[in-house]
Amino acid sequence: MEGHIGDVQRLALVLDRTISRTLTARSRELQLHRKTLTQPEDLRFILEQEAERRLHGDFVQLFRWLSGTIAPLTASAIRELGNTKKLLEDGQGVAKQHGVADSDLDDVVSFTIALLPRYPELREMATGTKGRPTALKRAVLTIPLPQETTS
Amino acid sequence: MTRPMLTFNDLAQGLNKFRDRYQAIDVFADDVSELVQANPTPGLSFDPENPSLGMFRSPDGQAYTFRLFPERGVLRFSKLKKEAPPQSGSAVAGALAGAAARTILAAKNKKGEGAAVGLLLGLLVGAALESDAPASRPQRIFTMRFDPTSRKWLAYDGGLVVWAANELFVPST
Repeated sequence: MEGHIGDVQRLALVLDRTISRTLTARSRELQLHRKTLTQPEDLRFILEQEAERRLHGDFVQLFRWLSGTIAPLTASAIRELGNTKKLLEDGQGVAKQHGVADSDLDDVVSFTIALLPRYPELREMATGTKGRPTALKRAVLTIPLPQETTS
Repeated sequence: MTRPMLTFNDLAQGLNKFRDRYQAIDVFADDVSELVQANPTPGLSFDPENPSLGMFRSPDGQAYTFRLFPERGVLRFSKLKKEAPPQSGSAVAGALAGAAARTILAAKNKKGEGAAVGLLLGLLVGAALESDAPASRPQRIFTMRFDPTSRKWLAYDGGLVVWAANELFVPST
């Protein structure tokens, strides 16, 4: 009998922690909804919430590019870019179609590539990025644009 | 050594970088030589009723309008939609002096002694992400830096990108 009570107590503790974490996450999400995102971790948090899974890739670079192309960059703005799950799926397909190396293909690469038709400026950002070429930059520059957009 | 500065012609070039995709370019007022020097400039005129507003006609004949945001230190430069009667260039210095001086001072205060000093930054401002969205909704922008050697605008995603977007962006009203 005591064993059962112990099990119930442990279960209640786990449940309590889970609810607490869920509420904390929800509270953070609500706070971020209208607030301008100030760090890559915020962007990662929102995209992972939308994708309902852990995501991988260069969130620092993606955060800089999105900060330079959308104002204010909020959770709402990220959601207006489209359904994250679909963007990840579409971007992966386009990346494979254009021969992006498997070693370069991650979630941030897929997400960014999916945005390129509507945000060709991201490619311009990749062109202007200083420093050594990253997987994200290599992948973005692999995808051809339908037409030149700059003069 | 004189620090590199922007001219109104450079702003026109930046605004046209993506053809008609963006409606305006925002820059720090203290980076614009015609404002800082306050000399009469061919093609530059002002709105006599509002010294924060002005007009510029580039050598190729394209007319532009500009607006100063004294509290933000920002000059917004955009294509003129409706032709206005030309004003005397010689009157520009006096009419703009007050508004321009306040805007230039605000820009200098924003930059302080930080990394932004010496960087010529610009921000293209476009439409809302959703075409039917109210003006307060997120808008398309594009952060750039001006390379004084090549006199060309380049994409900017450096360490000040978040700061530049926050400080230069004036939401559409």
